[in-house]
Parts: sequence; C-alpha cells; structure tokens
Amino acid sequence: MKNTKLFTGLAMLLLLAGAVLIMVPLVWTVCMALKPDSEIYLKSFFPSTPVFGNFKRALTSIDFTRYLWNTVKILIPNLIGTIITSAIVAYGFSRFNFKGKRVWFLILLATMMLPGQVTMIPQYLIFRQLGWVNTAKPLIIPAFFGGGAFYIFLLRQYMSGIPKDFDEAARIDGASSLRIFSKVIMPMCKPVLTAVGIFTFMGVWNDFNGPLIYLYDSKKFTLALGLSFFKGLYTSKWNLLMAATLVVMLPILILFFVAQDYIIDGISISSGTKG
Amino acid sequence: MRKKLLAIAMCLVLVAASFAGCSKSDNKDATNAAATSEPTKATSDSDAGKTENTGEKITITVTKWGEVTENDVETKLIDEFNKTNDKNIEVKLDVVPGDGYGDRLTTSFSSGEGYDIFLSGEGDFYKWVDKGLASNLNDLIKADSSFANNMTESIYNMGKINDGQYYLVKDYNPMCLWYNKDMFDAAKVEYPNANWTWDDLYAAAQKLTTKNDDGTFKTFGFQAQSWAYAVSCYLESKGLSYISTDGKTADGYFNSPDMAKALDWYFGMADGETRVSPTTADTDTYGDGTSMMVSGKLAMFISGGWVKSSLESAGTNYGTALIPGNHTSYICAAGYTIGSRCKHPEAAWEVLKMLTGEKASELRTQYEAVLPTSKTQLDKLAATFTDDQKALLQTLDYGVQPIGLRGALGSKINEILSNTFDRVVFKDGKTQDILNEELNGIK
Amino acid sequence: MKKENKKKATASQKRENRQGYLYVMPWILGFFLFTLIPMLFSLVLSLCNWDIVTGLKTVNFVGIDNYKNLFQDRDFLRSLKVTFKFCLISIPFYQIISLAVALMLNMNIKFMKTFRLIYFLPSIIPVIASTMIWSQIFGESGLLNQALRLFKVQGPAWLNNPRTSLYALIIMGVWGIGNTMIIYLSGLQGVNEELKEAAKIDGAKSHQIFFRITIPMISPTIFFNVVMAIIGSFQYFTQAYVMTEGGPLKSTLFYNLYLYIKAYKDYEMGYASAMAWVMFAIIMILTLIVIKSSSFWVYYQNDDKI
Repeated sequence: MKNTKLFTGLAMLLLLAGAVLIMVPLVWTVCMALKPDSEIYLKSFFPSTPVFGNFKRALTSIDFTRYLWNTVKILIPNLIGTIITSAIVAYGFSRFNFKGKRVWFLILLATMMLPGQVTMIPQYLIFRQLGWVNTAKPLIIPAFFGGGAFYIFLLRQYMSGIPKDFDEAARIDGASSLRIFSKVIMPMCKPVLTAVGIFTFMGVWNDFNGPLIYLYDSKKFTLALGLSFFKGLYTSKWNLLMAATLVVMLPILILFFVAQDYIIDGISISSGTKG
Repeated sequence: MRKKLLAIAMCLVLVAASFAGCSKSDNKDATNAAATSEPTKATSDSDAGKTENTGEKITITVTKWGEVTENDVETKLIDEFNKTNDKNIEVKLDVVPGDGYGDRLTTSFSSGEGYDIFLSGEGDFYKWVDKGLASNLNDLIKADSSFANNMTESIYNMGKINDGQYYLVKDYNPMCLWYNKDMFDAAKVEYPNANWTWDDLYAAAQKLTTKNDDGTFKTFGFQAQSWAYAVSCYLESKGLSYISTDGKTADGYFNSPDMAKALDWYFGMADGETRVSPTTADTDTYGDGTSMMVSGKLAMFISGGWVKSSLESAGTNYGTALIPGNHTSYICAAGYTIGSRCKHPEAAWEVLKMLTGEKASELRTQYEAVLPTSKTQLDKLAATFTDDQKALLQTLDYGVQPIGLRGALGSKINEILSNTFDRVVFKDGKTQDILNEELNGIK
Repeated sequence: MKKENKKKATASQKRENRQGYLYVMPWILGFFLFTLIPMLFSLVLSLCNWDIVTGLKTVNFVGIDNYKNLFQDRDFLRSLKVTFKFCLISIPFYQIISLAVALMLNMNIKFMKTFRLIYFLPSIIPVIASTMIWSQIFGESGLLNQALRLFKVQGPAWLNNPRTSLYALIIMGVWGIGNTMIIYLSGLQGVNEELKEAAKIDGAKSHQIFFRITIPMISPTIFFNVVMAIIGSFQYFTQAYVMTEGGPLKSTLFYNLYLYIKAYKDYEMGYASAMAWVMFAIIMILTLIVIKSSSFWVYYQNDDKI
C-alpha cells in the first residue's frame, strides 16, 4: 500500500514538472500578446504593464466578423456532413459482413497515406470542371461523403466495441437496421461523435490551403486566411500576431474544455468492449 | 506511340472526371440538403470564358498579394475605372494573402487559364517570361500613341527581359546603406558618406560594436546578412560579378579567387567572438535588421526602401548613404504583367496602364508610403527629403537589375545563391571549393 | 468467420451485401470522386513531365524516367535520409513519452482532469501559431537557452545550426504529443481492471502486471499509433516549411517538403507525383512490416482485426 502511495506521489511530481514545461511556451505567448510595442524584442518574460488594448487592435484591423461568419458558414455543414455520413459508413463497416469489406477497409486506411500535395492539383481541376471554384462547395461537399478516413476509422473502432447483443435485442423487437443505427448505436456513440466533431471543427477552423485555393473573392475568406492578412499587415509586431492568434484559438480551447471527457472516452483503437 | 498512349490516358481521366461531375450533381441533392442551401449566387463569376459569349462587357481579372484595407490603392483605382471607362471593361480584383500568393497563382495557372493581369515580384520576373506566361508588351506599347511613359528610367527598365518590356513596375525599393544616427553620435563615429570603401565601413563597424559586462553583445556595427541581395550588392559594389558582361559565362566569374576572398571577408564580419555583425541566430532573437536598428542594437545595414516607413513610425533617428565602393545597388520591384492567356490584351492594356500610371503612383506614394515610379512624383517627393535621406533616391542612378533577371544563366545562378552563401556561413568546406561545386551543379 | 452454414449464408449474405454496401456507399462514392480520380491522375502524371504552370497541354509522357531520376537525385536521397532519421529517433521517443504520460494520467490522482487538459492543450494550437512560438524559443538567446544558462550551459542557435536543427524539431514535437497520448489513455481505460486485480491477488509484481497484462491489452493501440506516426513523419511539412525552409544546409529537408518544393516551386509535377507514389510505397511497406510483426506482439480481444 505504501508503495502505491509513493508511486502516485512520484507520478504527481513528474506530471507537475511536465505541465510546467508545457505551459511555459503558452504563458509566454499570452505575455507576448500583452506586451507594448516597445518591449517586443526585450528579453523580459513579462510585459512591464499588460496592454489589453492589443486584443482590440488585433480584432479591429481586419474584418473579423465577416471572416468569422464565413468560417461558420463552412463549419456548420461540415460538422453535419461529417458526423452523419462518417457514422453511417462506420456502421456499415462494423455491422455488416458484406463481400469485399476487408478490401474496402484497407483502401480506406490506405487513403490516409497519400500526401495532399499531389492530389491537390487534380482535385482543383475536377472542382473547376464542376464550376465550384470561388464557392465554398469544394470545402463543404466532400464532408458529405464519409467526411474523412480517419473519422470513419475512429467511429468504426468504437462501434465494434459495442456488443452486438444490443442490436439483436432491437432486431427481435422488429427494428430495421436503420432504426437500430439511429436509435441504438448513435446514442451510444456520443463520446466518439463528440471527438469527431471536435477534430472536424479544428480541421475546418485552421484550414488555410483549402480556402486559399478555392475562394477567390476576399469577401468570402475564412478566419485562417484573415489571420494571414493580418500577418502581412504586422510582419514583426509579435504582440499583435500573438493576440490575434489567441483570439482565433479561443473557441477551440473552450470547446475542448467543455468536451474533454467525451474526447478521451470516444477514442478507442483496440475496439475492445468498453467497460 | 507514346504521345498517343498518353493522350488516351489523359482523356480517360478527364472523361471520368467530367462524368463524375454529372453523376455527382444528381446524387448530391439526394444526400445533402444542407450543403445545397449554401449561397450559390457567385458560382461562375470568375469564369473567364464567359466574357467571350456575352460580347458586350469585357471582364479583366487582376490578382495581387496584399491585404484588404480601406485605403487599398488597387481597389480605389479599379472602382474608379469600372465607373468611368468608356470601353465597357469591368475589372475584377482578387487580393491574396502574401503567404499563399505563390500557391494560388500556381493552381490557377495549372488549369490552363490564370489571370489576365497578375502581380509579380522581380524575383519571378524572369520565370514567368521563361514559362511563356507573361506577355511581351512591346507591340501594345508601340501601337498606343497615348501611352505617356513618365517612369524613372532605371525603374522602367526593371520590367525588361531580353529587350522585351514584359512588366510595368508598380512600386520598387532601391537598396542602400541605412544607419542609426544616435548610435553613431554616441560612439563619436562619423556618419557614412559617398567616399566610403568597404574597409571604412568595417572600421566604423568595429567602433560601433560593444559588449555587455557578461560578454554578450550589446550592439553591432553592421549586419552582414546572408540574404542573397545584400551579399550581391556588396560583391557588385566591389566590382565583382557572378557572370560575364555578355551574360554567357559564369566560369571564372562566379568561382574566381577574388570572389572567394571577398565572400570570406564579408561573412567573417559575422563570425566568432570578434564579430561586428549579428549572426542569423542573433536575428532570431533580436528581430530582423530593422527591429534591431529601432531598438538601438544595430548601427548599419543594407536594405531596401521599405525600411523607411518602419524606422519613421518607430521614431528612429536614421540616415541613408550610398553603398560603399562603386555604389552599385540592386533594385527590388513589383510589377504587373498581362498574362499570355489573356483573351483581350487591348482591354487588359488599358487596365495595366491604369494600375501603373501617374494617378496610381500618386496614390501609392500617399497611402502606401512607397517611392513613386513617376518622375514628376519622385521630384516632388525628393523636395521633402532631408539630406540624410536623399541617398535612398540617389542610389537609383546606380541601380541595376538583380542577377536573376539577366537571362537564363543569371536566373540559374540566382537559384543557387542562397544555398551557396549558407554553405559559406556554416563553413561547409573551403569557400573556393563550395563555389566550384555549386557552379558545377548547374552545368 | 462465417465459414460454417454455407446454405443459410447465401440468402442472408445477399441481404448483408446489399445493406452493407448501402451504408458504406457515401464513402465509396466520395472515394471515386475525390480520391481515386486524383490518385490515378497523379499516377499517370508520375510517368510524365508536366510543367504545372503551363497547363495541361504541356503534359509529356516520359515513361519511368522520373522514378529512375529520383535515385540519382542527391536532394531526394537526402530528404529520405532526413525523414528516416526523424522516424527512427522520434517514433520510439514520442511513443515512450506519451505512453508514460498516459499511464500517469490514468492513475487516480488529484487534479487529473486539469492535467489531461494541460497535456492535450498544445495539440489544439494551430501549427502556424506553434511554429511562431517555437522559433522564438529556439533562438540563440531564446527561452530555451536562457533556461540552459541557469545550468551554465550555452546552447546553440537550435534552428540555425545544421547539427541541431532536426533535433530541435524533434524536441518541439514532444510538445504536441497530446493526440498520441490521448489515444493511449483511451486504450488504457479499456484495460480490464478485474484481470489486473486477479493477477495482483495471485501475487504478480506490478512490473509483471504491466508487461504481461497492460502492454498486451493496449498493443493494438501501440500498433495504431506507430503506423500513424510513420504516416505523420512522411507527411511532416508545415513545421519544416515555416521554421527552417528545409535548412540550414538542407538538414531539415523532409520528404514531403522536398515534394512540395518540386511541385510548387520548381513546377515539376510529374517528378513530385513520382515522389508521392514512392512515398506511398514506403509507407505501405513499413506498415506491412509492422502488421507482419504485429502477430507476435499485438493481442486482439476479439478476432476483429484492423
């Protein structure tokens, strides 16, 4: 018993040390964001007097609300599309032994191994052919086709961990597979769906290349592109850059804080039965 | 045989792609009601092909890097032009963040179209001509009697590649020597002047370099950057050239013993405990040359005209001087060209003139604090300069096109410069050997 | 799995097929539309020369020349070396650290939730932002060296030194192990506690429990993380592009960065496509090696293999 106590104590100490190491760069970022212009290149860690006005300066120098709204307009359909279709596909992979399933699943995993840089141009050419360039469609519609191999994989692993007894019970009650999916499986998948939702959120929120290539009109730009405008305006004003970055990061931080339990519960690679 | 195979393969892929398009739009409606409710009003307004069938209105697409601000000169000019032009031309401007400009331009070219007018930095001037993407403007200029060129000669010539006028420069920055007067005063060193040699500069830099009590550097005299343009200004002002004057030979020029000696001397300034220049590592910490000069850590450096507004907004007491030696200086410039795939070159020419003309120059001087391309505007501005600032304008008389613009060989040399200088800085062998190796690499 | 009962299988198998395909159809369609066509396109391109900015008309068939040239290209070989070196050092390093952190975070200690949040925090920071932060930290008198000076050690300019630049990037990566760590954590939470208790009662030592029960139970998670890390190393890009541009002296010329330079700076799309397919092959081979070896060390609770 004593041994375990010593063990947890040691772990606590190590964790604390690690946490400090992790937090230093973050605290430094916050400090930088609060520094007055004259102290940007000074060695001092903390600003002499915190300048909260930096956040206001950062927000007002680009059309923040417009970029935010544009991002939301892409984000919401992406969330809907990814969560629904990736769950549907994962359900297919986890519950049906259709012919060629293994092969398709391997292909699914293999698509994760392709570098985006080479498929980018062909994809662009296809979307151009479709007349989707300069619209948000190339950034939205693919989400409705499974939403991404990684998400399907995560969901499938989680679903495989749900005992089939639940399905059987519902089936005996006369439920169709679609009904089992929506009434039995989906509610049980809440944690992993949350995780997928947050990953999607982060992906769309931080995506730079997609909007850059497909959105021509600067009125349609997203926050990630807006932030880049901002970088162009204030090349070496680190304090403002950090302030703007923090503002853009904030929603993700809040989201993670609220949903962190779900995320950890939701990721299940071994597809073992959840206890 | 090969061509045929290829054609078939390509056709298959394209057919598949367009087939995918059709089937796609059918089942899209079925699967995703949410996505179709997205705004679709602007679907095809960037389709350049569309302008042809309508016949009346000619759309000219323009792209540039930069930011969307209320005082954006291009936006002002284009709004005005769209309202007033009598040729039924409509100009559409796409502003792209600087970070992504290259990738965006590349993708838009990959489809076989691209923009009617696009902005390019002088570093890419040669490339676009070489790839056949920029148009030779000579004929358009000859045919247009109303074209009143009022540009400073060296600036206008920046847009020339192999005797063809391909670009019209929108703004430019000559490189000169910038110095912090307060630091010179404090160290009781005389300001740089037009008679300085590089040895004079070094002597002054030594006096201006000071250390803290703990042995760390407090101030540096001069920044011997490894940025290729800064190094090139140094070399050319010492009369050293990478290639022969006819532009055909690099052997014996790029790798001459004098060149190796000069490079060793230059980078020696930024090496070891006796250095007078910050290393690249130092600038990571203290910021670039401008930031260091603002914070009183750097007394002199060679850089372009863009430094002026930063120094002024920070209230730094600065001066400018001609580059030591024979004063040869590189000019950095950004210019517009008409894309070679443009379907309405005459209309585009009107737009190009508008984007680089007298009015444009005036607005840019006013809002962007750049040096005016127009002679008239430049004279006006020169009158407001103090004596210490005038060297920035005088340096135009010594301004030359950067090496990358001087033909095929120059462009190739330009590509290996930064790796070459990196190798010298990190002492990846003897300088002479490095020069020989790098030159062999491009043969 | 269903080898017995062949007769019964046919009818129900048909229904199974129909329903199964119906559900996975969105992805299959998406795969054909958005992935397969671009993939085939790049496969064809890898047999061609295509100066990308000059448009599709200039595509020129060259056979396997691109692939042949790859292995005479010194920069290509260098990028392979850099990436493999990164793989060999960073993968064991990251896996051990993140597993260790996950083990500690799986204990019953105070403020556990806060700790989890802190350890995961860096991985939700956009790469662009974290590169800005870290390039300041790694400077010659940056935060890291200021800290080292407390121990009377003068550190180098980490990113600006060909000898340390790659290691600097590896160190920076530790900050972002949150994703790997969380996957381990969820794996650990799936470990059967009763089994551990039973072993304890039988007198097993804690290290025996760890190596005989915990490790085998989370071996699929380890397997997954290792494969993802291999993919990640070959697709490593933004950090190197923003912080070092492959330098100094090409010491951080990662595979994917070189691919990008070839495609978007030198406009040699055919060559870049060939590189992509070689990358694909390498990842496949490495994954197969891991899979083959996995029968020795990966333990599946049910026969539901990946």
